[in-house]
Amino acid sequence: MADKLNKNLDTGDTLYGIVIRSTIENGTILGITSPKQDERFFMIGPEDVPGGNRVAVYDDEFPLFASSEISYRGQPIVALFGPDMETVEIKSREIEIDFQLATEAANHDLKHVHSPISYSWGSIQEVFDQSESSFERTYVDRRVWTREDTVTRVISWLDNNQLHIEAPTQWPFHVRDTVAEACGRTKKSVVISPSSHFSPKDEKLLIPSVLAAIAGIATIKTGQRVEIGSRFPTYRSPLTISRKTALDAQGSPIAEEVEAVVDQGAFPLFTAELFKQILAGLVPLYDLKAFSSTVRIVESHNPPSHFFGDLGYSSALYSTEAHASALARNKQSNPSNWRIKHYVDGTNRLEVLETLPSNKLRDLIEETCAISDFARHHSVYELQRKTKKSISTFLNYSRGIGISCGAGISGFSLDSPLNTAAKISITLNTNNKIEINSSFHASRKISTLWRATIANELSIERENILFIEPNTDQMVDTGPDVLSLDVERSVMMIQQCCDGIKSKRFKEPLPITESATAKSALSGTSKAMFSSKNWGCLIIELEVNTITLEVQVRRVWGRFSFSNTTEINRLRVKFRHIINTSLSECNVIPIHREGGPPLMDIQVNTLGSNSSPSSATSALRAMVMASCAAALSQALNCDATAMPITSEDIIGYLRREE
Amino acid sequence: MKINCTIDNKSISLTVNSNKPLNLILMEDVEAPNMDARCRDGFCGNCVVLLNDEAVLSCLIPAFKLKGARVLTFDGFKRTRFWHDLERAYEDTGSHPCPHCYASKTLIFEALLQTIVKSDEGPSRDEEPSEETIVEEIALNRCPCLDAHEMIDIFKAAATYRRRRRVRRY
Amino acid sequence: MYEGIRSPAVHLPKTMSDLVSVATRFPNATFWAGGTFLMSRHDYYPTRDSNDIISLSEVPDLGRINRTDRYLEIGSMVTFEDMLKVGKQVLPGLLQETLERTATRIVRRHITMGGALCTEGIRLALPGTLVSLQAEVEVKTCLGPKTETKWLDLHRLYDKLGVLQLKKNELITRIRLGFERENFSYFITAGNPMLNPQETVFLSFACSYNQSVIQKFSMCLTFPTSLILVPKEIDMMMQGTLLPLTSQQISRVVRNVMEEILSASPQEYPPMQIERARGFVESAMHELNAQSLSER
Repeated sequence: MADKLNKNLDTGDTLYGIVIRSTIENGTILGITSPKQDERFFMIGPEDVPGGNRVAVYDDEFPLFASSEISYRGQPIVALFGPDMETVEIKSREIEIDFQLATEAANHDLKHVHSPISYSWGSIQEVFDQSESSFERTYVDRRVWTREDTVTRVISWLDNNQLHIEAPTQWPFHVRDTVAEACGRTKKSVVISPSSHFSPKDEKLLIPSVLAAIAGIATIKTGQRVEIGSRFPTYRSPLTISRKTALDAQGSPIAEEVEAVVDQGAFPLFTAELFKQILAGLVPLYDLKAFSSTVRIVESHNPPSHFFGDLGYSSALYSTEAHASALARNKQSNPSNWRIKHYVDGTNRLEVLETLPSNKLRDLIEETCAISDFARHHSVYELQRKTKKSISTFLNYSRGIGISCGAGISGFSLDSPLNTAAKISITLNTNNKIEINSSFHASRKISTLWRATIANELSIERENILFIEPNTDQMVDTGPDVLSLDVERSVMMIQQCCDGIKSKRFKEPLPITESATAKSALSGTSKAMFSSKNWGCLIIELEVNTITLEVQVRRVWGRFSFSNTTEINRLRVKFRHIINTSLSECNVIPIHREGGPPLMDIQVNTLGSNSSPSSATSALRAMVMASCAAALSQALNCDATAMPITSEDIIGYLRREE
Repeated sequence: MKINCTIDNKSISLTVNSNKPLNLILMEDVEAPNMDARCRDGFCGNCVVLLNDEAVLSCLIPAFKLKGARVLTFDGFKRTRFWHDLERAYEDTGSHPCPHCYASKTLIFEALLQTIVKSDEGPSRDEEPSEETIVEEIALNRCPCLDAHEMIDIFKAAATYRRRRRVRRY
Repeated sequence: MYEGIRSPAVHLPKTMSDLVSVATRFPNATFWAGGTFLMSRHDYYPTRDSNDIISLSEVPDLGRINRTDRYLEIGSMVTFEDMLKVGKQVLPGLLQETLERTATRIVRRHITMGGALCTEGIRLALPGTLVSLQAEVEVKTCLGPKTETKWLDLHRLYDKLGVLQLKKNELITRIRLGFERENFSYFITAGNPMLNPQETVFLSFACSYNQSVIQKFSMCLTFPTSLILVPKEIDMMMQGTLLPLTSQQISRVVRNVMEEILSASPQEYPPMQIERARGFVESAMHELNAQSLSER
């Protein structure tokens, strides 16, 4: 083999593994034909799991390997191991799996429906009965998945009877617990060393646990170092949201009925929290006498989906904002003026979502509209939409402009059990050195933010603030690193630790260790399920090229207000990244015109309060989708309610117009 | 096939299949850090390295083309002085690629910077690529995190530093 | 090297006769031009039994660009980037644009003219453009002492569905372009042929006119996996037509092209490709009108 550039371990006897997955959605495994006899290779399946063939996620679980029933395409069936990646990959093609497709054709798409949850206020039926008219739309946030261009690699080895796992993971203690259960070992005998990763779509939340468990089983079986890789994508749950709004004589909304149906695939996980995150997004900012919302989870034979950058908030908020634009269009009103008129502080929604005062949002809307000249653009494109007979290649474009806004939330709901266990601790050692103990990976972002907070609170040099050795032997469990918890809740927890240290410093001997849980950090704050400390407003101008039939972005304007942030530049860069990525997910392409103005005009400002920040990333994704939908509706003279836009949609809209 | 080449300034002797792609060689045989791109006809553009000072998609380079070649990955490039031009450009503009495509986009920027001055002819000849070329070249990497203006601003800032470096050299 | 996986032998002929000799001795070997298409296939590596490789990179005859009185002759191993360096005075604008739009510079350094014409199962933009420019290719049959060389019109290299008609032992060695220049050219594409071939369309169009009368009208429409259409009837119909075209004439051209597309194959083409093809042809006619009017 080749000389290695750098290695910490002798990798001479490493075994390489590959996961063999189902190629059918639903059915039964009739038999598995192993590859031709070769002692260099071995297979692991459900019968080889020493402990439990399952991956537990709080109260839910799913199988590690499919035993005989296949629940989704891509479900792990067996794993093959051999002396090197190439021969393992070729050998894996010799494995033949006989499937029998399920005969339940009628229930192919919907396996099971969980009990829905609801939230409402007012007397919905009464208000609907009194209304002048109603307006109904169904919004769809279609299934997408990550492009797996990189390999998720997990390495396991035995050292002094301890099973070591190196894996990129957002949840090291879940990897530990899964490996311990699958391998039939105690948790203390399994040590996880998390490696660096970049997971904007939560790609490393549960997949590493699955791979680590499989690798751990192979290591225990052979005593050898094992490396296993996978490129299985992460999926987003598709949501279908129906909104029916009762209108008064002036066309203003007075009541609304919303139903959201979420397909979580074969194994729903995090359902209780998912319900709440979606509810928070469904509640509109306009005043209503009555409101009723229901969230329904369904299972299907799609791959399991849950976290995808957020837990459904962005999809729900997209429907809310797209509906606001549709209501404005129905009333033939400018959507920005409509929002300024109707968006008010609502006491009814306080149980679910507490926001900054709505006058701050109205200021943002006015500012964003002023810099984008929204009113003029909107009027011109409305005129074009109304007078144009057909989309012609002579006038080779069709334009629209859309606006949306929203409040950003982060973290789990207030009373979520997921807050209880999450912990961070800080130790003030001698020589004025601080040691941070958390299972969140010390990325550049976290290092900068946490160090800045501690340095500010305790007046300690940043160079003297260190992170503990990253392995589960030393770390405390901060829970899954999702929903921007590393930004908001963690900062609150660190501040609480610092307060504890401050009270004991110079009074008690060193070292002083203080811990905080998310629950304790949140106690005494708002009573709402979610509390938002920011507003955002986004305007997108789109053009449909009527020759190439591509949807192109001309300009993007965004204004964001945070109650408190010290990282305005970092946020601006991050928001640009998110907007660019979200536009790409919507299947719209930015245009570059040489010598033209910049594509994006994004500004972030702070209101200068002392409250802790909340993230705006999931709200921003929603705003991009909603603005695109509104702009497309204008450009194509249709109701664009499903995102991302596909070529079939565009053809459908064009042919309907003709 | 036995191949002798230089990877990140270290002489390496490889025994690999003649048609093994360079990105797999870097990932599996050499275990270069930060090399984990394997999209398999996804055309991600995340496997860029410098081969004989030219940017290439390493998944398209078979082993038999590496005889006597000099390969520089992003980790090797970071140890050169040219990296600082881009590092400062990222700081000055306040924009940078996301962690997913940071390495690849940086090397594509470097490939564009190399076109500014032809080293054999001294500092007088300046062939700055057009904005359209800059955007198209960076778009080889399909991660959409940077928009066109950011790409152009980063390039222009880095080009300024690179020209100063060239002038000092002569 | 891995037991169970064959490492292909790599042959590096240095002359054309070496090349013919190697190709005859190893008839199952793969001709390796730039290798970009082969390496980009997701199932290329690893495979148990890879064919031997005959690398064409060291045959000097294949890497030359020659200019004669009548033709520009391009060796099949000339890369896209080398072609662009030939210069605007020599290279037709249509070809220049096609080469630039096919790939970025980083990839163009490795894509060869011959390789881009011979991609298995997919047609990129180059064949359509060369067909519109009425290019010819030299095809060498490597059968030991009975080596044959012939020049073909490029459109005969493919059937109507875009399937390559070259046999295993045949090799493209040169491409020839006449110096007669069109005074209007138009290239348009939408979609990514490698990621989304079912929605991608290329249109290459070259037209010569003199005193507003069309003398040559050459169009080629490509769907990467299912069509190379050279509407010869329209080409003949448009010769002698006065510019600018009327809206009825434009509609007739579009209608004829669409009829030819729909009758080319029993399979149904995706609606996006059909709509794009329609839009591209119509847009090309409008652009031709615009240019002819601007010259008055």
